[in-house]
Amino acid sequence: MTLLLVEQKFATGKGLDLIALVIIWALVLYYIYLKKGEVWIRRLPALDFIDESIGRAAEMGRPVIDHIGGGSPSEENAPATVAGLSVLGYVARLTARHGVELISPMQVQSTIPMAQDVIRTAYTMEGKGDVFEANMEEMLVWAPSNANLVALIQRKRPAVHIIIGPTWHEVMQTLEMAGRLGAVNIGGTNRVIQIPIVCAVCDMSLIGEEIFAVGAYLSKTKSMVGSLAAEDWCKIATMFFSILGIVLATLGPSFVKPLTDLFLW
Amino acid sequence: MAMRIVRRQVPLVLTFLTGMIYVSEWFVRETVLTDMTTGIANFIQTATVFVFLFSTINLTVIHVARIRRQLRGPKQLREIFLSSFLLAMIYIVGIVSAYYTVVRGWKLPSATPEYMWWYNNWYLSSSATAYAGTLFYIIAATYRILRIRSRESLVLIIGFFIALLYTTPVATSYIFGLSSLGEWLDRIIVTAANRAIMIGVGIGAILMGIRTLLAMETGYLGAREE
Repeated sequence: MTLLLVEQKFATGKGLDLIALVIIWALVLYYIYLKKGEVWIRRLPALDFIDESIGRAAEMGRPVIDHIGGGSPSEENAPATVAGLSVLGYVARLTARHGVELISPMQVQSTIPMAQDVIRTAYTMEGKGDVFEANMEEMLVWAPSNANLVALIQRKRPAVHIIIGPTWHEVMQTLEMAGRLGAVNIGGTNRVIQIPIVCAVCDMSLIGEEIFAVGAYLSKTKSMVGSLAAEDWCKIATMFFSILGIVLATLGPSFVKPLTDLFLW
Repeated sequence: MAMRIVRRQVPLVLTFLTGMIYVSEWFVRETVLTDMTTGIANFIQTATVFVFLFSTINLTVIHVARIRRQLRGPKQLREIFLSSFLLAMIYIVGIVSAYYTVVRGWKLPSATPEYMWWYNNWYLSSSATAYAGTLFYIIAATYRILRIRSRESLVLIIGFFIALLYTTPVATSYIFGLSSLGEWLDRIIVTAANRAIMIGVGIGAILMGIRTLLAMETGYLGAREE
């Protein structure tokens, strides 16, 4: 009876999803609470380069432009938008510390209050909340179109131009313009179609899922770093199942059927 | 202390609860959960309207402050004055037209010949110019990376030339095997790399979601306290 009720209530075709999700949660919790985040993570040169480039901006007396692309926090690119905001918070702390002008153009209106809070918190933590309040209107700019962004870059002539987040074709225009003006370009996106452009134009770039590791990498908190190890195990499992799928598909349809049937469970 | 709870703890708890409801609704057929997610979606829509309102007020305050500062004198602000002034004018026109069309019920013609003239000759041509600029940028950037600095970049350049020649009909008709080699690169190598990146992005997004639900990823709150 109970089993029948469970069967009625449980959505069909999602059994494998549930198992995978439970395993991922278990891995994350294991690495956070049992391993205490004692894992090694490789360097992300693009993020290490942010410190150096903002130091360069301080020496040159030119501003830093950091924007997060055209994603919003309420759609499929929300994780990348959050990653972009994490970087913005880190950059804002560095600019506040070194006394460098920060300009953060936002393409989507709904990200403005979030970015405002992120930058305000960063400046307050560096003891320069008054600097943010006095310069908020220059620091946080609404730039809905690519023409706005390009014109802003041309006017301000930044020493460093950072674009990390979900990006569309604005990435090409802004990065190329900033590059021509002698700015250091640091970019990263989760959108596959824009990744080659980011790699081609940027001095330092983050590819694909690397932007999701930004928060963990920059905060260096053990729990966050631990969750990156869980991510790696998920990738290894994906590779294993991909190879298994290739082998079974090569052997014949009857071999691969048990594997595909799992998705119907 | 109370402020800290409101600004930090409450959003984290709300994020966790909302996330768990959405995750449960995906797996369980239960009317209560469906109703809850519908309610949350409606609430998010309503809240988004408030965010737009807040952002609009915020922008107005920012640009009015700019205009006032410019009017008081500093010459270095002149460059941003025009954009702020134009935006303020557009706001005023928008508010007035919204009043007459929405409140007073006036009907505006949607596509008069004058409007279409502006649209075709100004808007479309400006858009085309912007996209054409992107194209030249892409070409310039592509050729800039074609420098042999390492073994990897050598492989990249070889792949680039094969792909370049593969897309030209003359080369494919004169060079034996180029067509099948280009197709193999496109279908196998490029697709494999794309899928690998997409799988990585998918896993990264799931893990980021879990970190957000567990209140570890707080970048969106701007509150990373040490």
